[in-house]
Amino acid sequence: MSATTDSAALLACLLGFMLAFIRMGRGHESPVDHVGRTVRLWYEGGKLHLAYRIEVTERAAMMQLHRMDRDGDAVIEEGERADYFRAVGQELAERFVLELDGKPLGIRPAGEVKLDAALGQTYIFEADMDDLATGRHAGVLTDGFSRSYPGPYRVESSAGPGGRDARLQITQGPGVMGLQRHPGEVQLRFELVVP
Amino acid sequence: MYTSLAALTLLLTALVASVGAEEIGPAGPRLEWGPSVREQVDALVERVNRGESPGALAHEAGALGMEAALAAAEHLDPAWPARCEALYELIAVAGRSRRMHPELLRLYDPAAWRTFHTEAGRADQKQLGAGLAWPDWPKALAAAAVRAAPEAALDWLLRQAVSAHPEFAHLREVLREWGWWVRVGHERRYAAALDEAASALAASVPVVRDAPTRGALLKFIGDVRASGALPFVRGSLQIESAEVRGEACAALGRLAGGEALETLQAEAREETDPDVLEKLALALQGWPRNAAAGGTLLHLFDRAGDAQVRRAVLYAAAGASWPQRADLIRRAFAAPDEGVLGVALEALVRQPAPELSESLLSLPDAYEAAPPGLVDALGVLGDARAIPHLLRWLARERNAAVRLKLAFALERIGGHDACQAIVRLLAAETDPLAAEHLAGLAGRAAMVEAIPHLMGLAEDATAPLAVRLQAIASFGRFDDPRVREALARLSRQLHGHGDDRGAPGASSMPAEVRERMRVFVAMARLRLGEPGAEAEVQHLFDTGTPGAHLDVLLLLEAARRDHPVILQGLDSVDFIVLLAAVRAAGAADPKKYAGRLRAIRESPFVASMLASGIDSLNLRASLDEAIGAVPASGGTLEGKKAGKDEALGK
Repeated sequence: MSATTDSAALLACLLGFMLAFIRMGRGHESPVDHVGRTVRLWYEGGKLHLAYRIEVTERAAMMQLHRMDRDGDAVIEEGERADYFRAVGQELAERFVLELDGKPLGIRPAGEVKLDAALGQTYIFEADMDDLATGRHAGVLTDGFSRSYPGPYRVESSAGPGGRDARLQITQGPGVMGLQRHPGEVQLRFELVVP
Repeated sequence: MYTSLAALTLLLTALVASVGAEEIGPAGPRLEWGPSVREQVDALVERVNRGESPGALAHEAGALGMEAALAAAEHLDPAWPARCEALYELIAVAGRSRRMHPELLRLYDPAAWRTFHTEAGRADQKQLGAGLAWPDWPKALAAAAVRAAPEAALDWLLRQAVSAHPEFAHLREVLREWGWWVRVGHERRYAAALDEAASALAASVPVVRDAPTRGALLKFIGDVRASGALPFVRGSLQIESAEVRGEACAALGRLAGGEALETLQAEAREETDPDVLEKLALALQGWPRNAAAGGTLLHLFDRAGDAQVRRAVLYAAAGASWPQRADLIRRAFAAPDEGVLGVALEALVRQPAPELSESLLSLPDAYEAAPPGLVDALGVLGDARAIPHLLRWLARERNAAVRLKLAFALERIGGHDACQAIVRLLAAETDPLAAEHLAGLAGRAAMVEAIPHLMGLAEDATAPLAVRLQAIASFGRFDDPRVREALARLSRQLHGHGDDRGAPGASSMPAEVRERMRVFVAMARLRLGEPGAEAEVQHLFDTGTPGAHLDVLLLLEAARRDHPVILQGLDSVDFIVLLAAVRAAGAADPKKYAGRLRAIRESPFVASMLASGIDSLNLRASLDEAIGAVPASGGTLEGKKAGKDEALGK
């Protein structure tokens, strides 16, 4: 078989693979590197806080180093590291849509990313929620980043580092969007109780 | 004919639900809210000390990284065997990180970086490898030592080499673990040290007198390509144990070089054990361009009546360019039993041999139903005389997978009769997978008669998405007004304009489905030079997911067409997108992208990936192929490879 035919066969396989991904659903692995996510939401000091941990594959982490290493010296300097993760945190914030009582709320990065040995990156975000009236408030967090990368999704609990906060309850999550939206886009519903 | 829209919706809903479960997949390390790493290791120790099973705790704690492994090492005590079993399991899991790039460790697991890449880490490794001195080893110790304490493991190996009473069973465990670690591309630091260790062990009289350990050492030598041990490997062919001689042959194949080839040739003349000869034949795959290897195997095929050996000879010949290759396959036609013919046909599929046309065409008469291997081989042969046989088999074939094979064979052969048969198949096919491939096949062969059927599939909202996408992708091959109209109709519907006549439900289509449909329609329009398609593709790429990027780039590669998104893909942080962009660049305009492709290949972190086991999709080959497609003063890459093989006696 000629090199051209080999190449065409491989291309047909790759295309078939992508088509099969849709045909088989998630049972057939997407060739896009998976991202595992762990989410925590809590309410503290008049702010809603989100800890968003993504766990990447070794290959994806290496690609990120490739992107970080702007000077190509095979060493990730502190500036390169900080710039890269700051940009990712900002991009993530832009892809979250947070609503409380049906009204959109801005969500922004807060603090440095925390890396861990399982190739995990934990980003912290916060949203101002001052002057909330007494009573129950229904919230929805839509994760626009989740539609780009397949992978497991878990919500640990509605508790901050100080412990469980009874004022914030996850009422449904992670749920999924209706068919009008992207099916891989994850949505988390919660309820905030202001005494 | 196909699933209804409701069923498709159900499928997608089920697909979505797999994302929506409360908890999916293994738990990652806890966020800082939970107990500390040390507290988790202590909890594991307490649990095991109470006589309870560690369950998944050892693995979960190991996933916390080398900080957990070092905490575990503080609890190692041979007086507590059950505890040590669990702790070494933890250390083995944590130690897997040693395969990673040092910068990855420095950022994500500083304890691992210190342990493996600093002088201070040697003391930690000594503590981690404490169990190597124990008479009874925990099950995971060998793996844990190779991964997490390589300095201690290397010292231990060298001590075994000079010991009057080596620990044979433990030695075999360490050799097996380290050999595997090297073979899969995980070893970054100790290749030279392992070569020396192999030679030291080969010089140990007690080690080489123990046949099982000698066999393990030979396998290890092959795995680490310890060329310094070549004399020992050659000498091992004189050993009585067939297992040892077989491992020696396999090791010679991995060591390569002219001396290794001569040794294997001599062995092929004398050896009689079929298991050894099988390994010897497979070892000669290492010299695919060297006619001497082919000559040796031709002689061996004749001498060995054993089908096991003959199959191995044919496996070895499959990818080789020996002048004796066709003769070998011809001999297999004359002695087809016990799977020999099947392997010969596989070899022909991998690389055709036109001189065997007549022999191959004489085979179909003997078969009423289609033998899959023969169908493939006839397709690769590409001789129109095979068409009546393929059509005869097709008429009675009920298995969709075999029908598809027959269709692929017909596509390869081409011609009016083959095309008509494929169009008839496409019109009648009810199996979605077969229909999808047939749609692609009709497009690749530009079968104008297939256009109405492709239009029917592309605009059938009840057809599976994969079938529709393939039909749309095939549209790009037809410069035909009917196709252009269908594409315009689909495009309008997907953008929310026009009626739903051809694609009902476009307005209520899930976003992911709509995104993919838009990509495929835009790419087909681009291929046909439709106005606005260029910008549409750019927009879809800019706003799309990595999956959409992949679709666009693969379709550009298939069309061999350049587009600015290729450059964007080459800058992607997603590996699969980068891979697709490299292939698209190589297909579209290798000269234009050569500089960028070289820069990618030489960038430190990509180069490190290419040299490791994590390049499972073979980005290296795609880069080499794309760069090699540019004629340079030094000749093509293929030419250089051939020159290098020649220098190695291959």
